[in-house]
Amino acid sequence: METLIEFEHADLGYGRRSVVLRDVNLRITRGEFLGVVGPNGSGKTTLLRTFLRLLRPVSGTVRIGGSGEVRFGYVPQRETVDTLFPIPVGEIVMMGRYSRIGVLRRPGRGDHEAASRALEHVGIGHLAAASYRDLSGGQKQRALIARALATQPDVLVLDEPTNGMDLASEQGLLDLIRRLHVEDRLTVILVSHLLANVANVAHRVAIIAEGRVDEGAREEMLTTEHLSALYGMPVQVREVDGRRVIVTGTPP
Amino acid sequence: MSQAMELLGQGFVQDALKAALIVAVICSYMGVFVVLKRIVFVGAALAEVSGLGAALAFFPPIVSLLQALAPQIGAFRPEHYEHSAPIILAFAAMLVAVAVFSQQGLGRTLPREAIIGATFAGAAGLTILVLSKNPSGSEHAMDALNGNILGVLHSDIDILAISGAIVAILQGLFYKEFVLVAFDPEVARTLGYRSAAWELLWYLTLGIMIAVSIHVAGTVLVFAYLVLPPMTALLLSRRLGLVLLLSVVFSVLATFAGILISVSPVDLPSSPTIVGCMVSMLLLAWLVRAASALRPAR
Repeated sequence: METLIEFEHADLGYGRRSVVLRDVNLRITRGEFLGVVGPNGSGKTTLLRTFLRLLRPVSGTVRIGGSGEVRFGYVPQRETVDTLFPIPVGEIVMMGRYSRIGVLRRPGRGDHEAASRALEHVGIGHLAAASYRDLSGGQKQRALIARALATQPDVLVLDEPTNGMDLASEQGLLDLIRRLHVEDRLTVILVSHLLANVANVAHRVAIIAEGRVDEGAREEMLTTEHLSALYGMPVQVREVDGRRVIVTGTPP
Repeated sequence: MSQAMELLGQGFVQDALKAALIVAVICSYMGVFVVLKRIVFVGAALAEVSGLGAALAFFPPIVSLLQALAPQIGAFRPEHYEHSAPIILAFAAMLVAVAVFSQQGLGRTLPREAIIGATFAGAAGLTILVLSKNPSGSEHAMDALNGNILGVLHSDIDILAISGAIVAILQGLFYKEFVLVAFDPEVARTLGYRSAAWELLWYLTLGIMIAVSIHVAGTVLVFAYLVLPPMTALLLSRRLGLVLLLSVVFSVLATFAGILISVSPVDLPSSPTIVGCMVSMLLLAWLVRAASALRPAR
């Protein structure tokens, strides 16, 4: 399997005086699904920004792209996207094509087709002309995923995609992400503060706690013993109808 | 009507219209981004800093220094000084401000708005202090600062036209990059764009236009063009392309109406009259928007 991203003894942060994560060792191969979980403020964003090459490691090695360039399709938290801009969904998705189109050139027919396909793929093809600010939370998230897909990425990186969603929208979105991974064979990195979000979709799980990244196969990471030890509190992992359910705290 | 056409036929009114329309078109277009990027105060601060630069051209120690350089730089020779020096110094001051405001790290220690506000207040205060030490009377200095559209010179129109053309070409060529970086700078970086460099280029185009416009139109009118037509357009449309077009159209209409009213027998100062027309359009748009919101949904 081709290695796309590799961290070796990497300290991550914002300079030697502000190291957030220490001695990070991670390897992501093509076609993998990595879930990154940690409480708010634990360093998830720092890890994500390093994946995206927006931050350089303070020390150690981060290798992105083995045999060639790795193209990321980044889906930011939808709260960070400004709804004041009067831009239709179709134009937002087209932005994903800009790096392929290049400076001084306008989108061509192929770019319009790729943007339409991306919108159809996430199930909101009928909303191309709608204003982004008028969409529901779930539709906005789908629009941002469509923009990421329009880049034709090697790796889809999603930052807290289900934040503030109702149960149905959350499940619909997680199903979509799983479908993109399985059917399109996309490598996926899903960052969330909710273990439940990654418990049933990711192959590998990286848990961030106390400045460290603990990473492994889902079966090894999501066990009652491991999670209880990691979080320093009772955590139970149960199976209901073949799906993992994480329960925290002591039963009443 | 015939009286209005007669007024429009007069040379000084035509010159005023040419100058004001160049400022109106470019500033109202860029103003849409100023409003959407929530940097309205940056527009005001850049205008004020450029004004300070223009005022410094009349400060005795600076006058002596620049005229000592006159043999090397023709623009500072006494015969050109009053028209060239304020623009050059306004431009230089604007460059310094743009370099500071476009820093992405700005605001890590103190709020960004506070730094911009302090710049605005400092530049405004310093401008008054500098002008108070202008021994040759403040008429030229006040014109350079507040603008006098009806007294615009052909050389000013030439400078405006060249600067406006450069800014318009850059804005047209890099439209999609400027929109992307303004809308989502972080995603732009993941797509390989150097957001900071694009931001700097955008601020430079804004700064150039403000620096050359202040001399002709004054800080209040330039700031008004940056804010009022874009706000009016944003109230009436939800498509960026249409918002940009409407903003330009409103600024042009207000400029025509304002200048016509100001040279008519009513005899009002031109810049405040244009501002008044733009404010009226904004209020009208607000009423239209409110009325459409009250209409029952089908």
